[in-house]
Amino acid sequence: MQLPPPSQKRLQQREELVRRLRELLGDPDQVIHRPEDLVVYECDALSAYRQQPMAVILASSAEEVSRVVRLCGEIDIPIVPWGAGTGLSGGALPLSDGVVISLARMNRILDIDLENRAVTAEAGVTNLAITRAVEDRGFYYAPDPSSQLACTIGGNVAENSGGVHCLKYGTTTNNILGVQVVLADGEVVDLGGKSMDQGGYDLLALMTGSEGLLGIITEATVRILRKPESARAFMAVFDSVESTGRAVSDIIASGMVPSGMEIMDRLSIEAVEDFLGCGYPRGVEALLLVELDGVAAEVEARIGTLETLLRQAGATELRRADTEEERARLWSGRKAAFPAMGRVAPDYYCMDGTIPRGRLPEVLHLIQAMSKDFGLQVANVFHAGDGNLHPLILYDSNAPGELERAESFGAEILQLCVRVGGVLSGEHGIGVEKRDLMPCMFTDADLDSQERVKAAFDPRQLLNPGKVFPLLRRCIPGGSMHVHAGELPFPGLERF
Amino acid sequence: MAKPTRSNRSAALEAIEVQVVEAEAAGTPVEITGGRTKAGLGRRDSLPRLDVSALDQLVSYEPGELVLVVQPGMRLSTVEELLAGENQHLAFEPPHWGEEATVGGTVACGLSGPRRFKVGAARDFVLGIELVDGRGQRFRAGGRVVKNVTGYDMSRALTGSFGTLGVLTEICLKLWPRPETQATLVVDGCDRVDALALMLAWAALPLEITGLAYLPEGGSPVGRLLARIEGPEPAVTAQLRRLVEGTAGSISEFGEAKSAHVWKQLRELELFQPGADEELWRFSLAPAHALRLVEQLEGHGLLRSGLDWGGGQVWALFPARVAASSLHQIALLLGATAWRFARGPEDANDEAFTPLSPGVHRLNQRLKQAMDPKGIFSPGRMYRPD
Repeated sequence: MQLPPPSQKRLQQREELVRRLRELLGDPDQVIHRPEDLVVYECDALSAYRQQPMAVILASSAEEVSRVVRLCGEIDIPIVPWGAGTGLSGGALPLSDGVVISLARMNRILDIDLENRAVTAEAGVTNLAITRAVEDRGFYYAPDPSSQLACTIGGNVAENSGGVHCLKYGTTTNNILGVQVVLADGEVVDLGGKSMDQGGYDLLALMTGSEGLLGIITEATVRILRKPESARAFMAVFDSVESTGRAVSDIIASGMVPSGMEIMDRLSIEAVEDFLGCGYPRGVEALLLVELDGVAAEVEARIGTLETLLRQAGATELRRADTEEERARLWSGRKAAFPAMGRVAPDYYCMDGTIPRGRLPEVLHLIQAMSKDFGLQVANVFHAGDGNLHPLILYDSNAPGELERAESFGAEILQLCVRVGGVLSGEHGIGVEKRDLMPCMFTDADLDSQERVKAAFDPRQLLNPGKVFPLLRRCIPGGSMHVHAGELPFPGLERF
Repeated sequence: MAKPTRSNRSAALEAIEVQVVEAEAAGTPVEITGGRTKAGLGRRDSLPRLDVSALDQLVSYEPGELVLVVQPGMRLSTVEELLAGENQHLAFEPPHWGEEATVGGTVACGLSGPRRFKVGAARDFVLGIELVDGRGQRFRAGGRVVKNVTGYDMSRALTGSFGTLGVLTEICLKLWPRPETQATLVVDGCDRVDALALMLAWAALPLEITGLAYLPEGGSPVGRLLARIEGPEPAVTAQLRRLVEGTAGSISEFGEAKSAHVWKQLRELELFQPGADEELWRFSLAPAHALRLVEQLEGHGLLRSGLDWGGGQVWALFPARVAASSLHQIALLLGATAWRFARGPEDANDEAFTPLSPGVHRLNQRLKQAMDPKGIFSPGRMYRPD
């Protein structure tokens, strides 16, 4: 993995840059520049790639972000925006000849408007803090990425974050009304607001998921929903991962939209049981977790159909959570799957492709076959409802050649996803991680069009350069999320 | 793995590419058209037409995936029939405004019907597109799966671009299962202050309310409040009961057929067809501001108005030649955005859309420039060219 080579001219400006930033911001504590202090910022949650920026700016307002961006424009310094650093694709990896602007200090909720069902928050407010601010009134913010305790709303917008419930409630892009953005020239603009439409082109849509390449999000207005009055979880046991995949397709085809549908295979179930003992059956091939939520009368009306479908699809055992406690217990195993895997193998490698749901049985079967060919185990635990796979390839980085085999295996999985009509990333983003795989999915013309959009917003390529777009337009298998000895970056966070 | 290449070309597609390349070479702007049912939206220039009606093929429909891929010229009614056969639908409830309405026009105009406030807008259902840009380059963006963060979300950005960024040649849409049934609660003789208060309160309930509108009753100061509930029959009945219990006034219920009819009427703007000396406006705003908007519009000769999307969309009829800039100014001050509908082919509709802030306007121009450098796709459709 390469980043654009650092410019000596920029590196030589380091001292002057730090001096001018400190002058600009007034409070010297807002500029971090000593190597020992910069360690915290040398990588995001894709910790395989690390490098220190020349400085980190702790901005406290959009106006300050704007001033820093203007200064960087004046002296040609690239900028990487930073929320909480929980991203999994290296989107916030610093540039050694650039600066990081951290939005973490901008953590105020600015407006709670229950009448219009909207909350406006500064970029550094965490995802969960938005829900916390309105839950006593019965509302919540729907997208629930696994890192929601730590990840920021600004980062969520930049990455178009998902979560377990996006099958029914959509990802970030379906749940925001407006953003305030600092553009590459330092101008501060508002895109959208509290109305359901904005005038002109839908720039809010372009900004969402732009991975910090089109602007720096300083504020977001999100749509909040009333908490569903009923949520019921089910667990169905199957004798193969393939038949579990078929059950998912059957449920979707039946006209039901569960709020979540998650598959775990044998390896993950056993690992979770060893780790947590949450009561999943042992010795079974696969299980499917399904949750229905909404109006109580509607949920009740669908339970019978769901149970019949699961049995018809071959479920050998069916469990229904009748209490909130049982529901939490059913989900606890799923939420612990990633950390549990760290006890099964020294290292794992997490993929994030999405495929058409109907191809689940075939793709899962092929992944198992590939696992034999590569001589590496793979665990499957993923968002089956929207076809978002997270195969975890288990390997040992100390065993000669295993890392390379794992990488080849991972690349083959992602290429398989694209081949069956899917995409490279369902929710983790491209960042630096999958950047070089982009030509496997997009033609030159496709990529040209996206680069022209980039140039329209940031003609000088100062915002997060080296991310998303391949340096070479060839399909080169790249890396993914590596975890060694179970040491997840942010070990305290649940992983989905 | 080899780089992807795409060579599926039909004669109709090639003809369009040729027209774009010729227009680009000659520097002569064209207007992309389909069924011409949305011609009243935006500013009007008489430009040679680039008609995509011939691109009307179904590319793929996999009901189990809840995904449909069609060419833009396919009629909306054809698509809806096809989906109904599988108990599916376009949940954003696109308006037709004429039998010839196409999927391409729907996406190009970014139009959504009454269910929008609950399930999302047209753009939330566009998963991927294929497009020929202003340089004649054909490219794809997005994909055919529901969860995708690979590359910029150009599909959403192209939705509602009124044919000014490129020619859509393929559209992938997300489908939803059709609710089993529907019913509508009707409150007649409802004062507008009460109506808005009820709509705001009901929209915030954890119920499957998928339509909330307040419509005028022939010139009287009161109107009819409509609340649609969709889902399995027992759930619809249970929810209706809950709404009725807490509501005073003249209450009635519309069963499935009548409910479907009344929401179709609203979607098709049957109550808001302008007379000979009238013009139609549409405002999108924060729902709680709806009455403040209506009160201000009354100061400018408002004839009749109706609230949709729980207050988030206001339809308004004015006498012809009302001062457009004043209405846009009102919209701006309330954080709203407005559309003026052209009164006919002769109406240039110069101030069709509320002006953008200078910063956002500049970004719009830069995006246009990136996609259509020579400005061959209706350069003046949305805003007056500088």
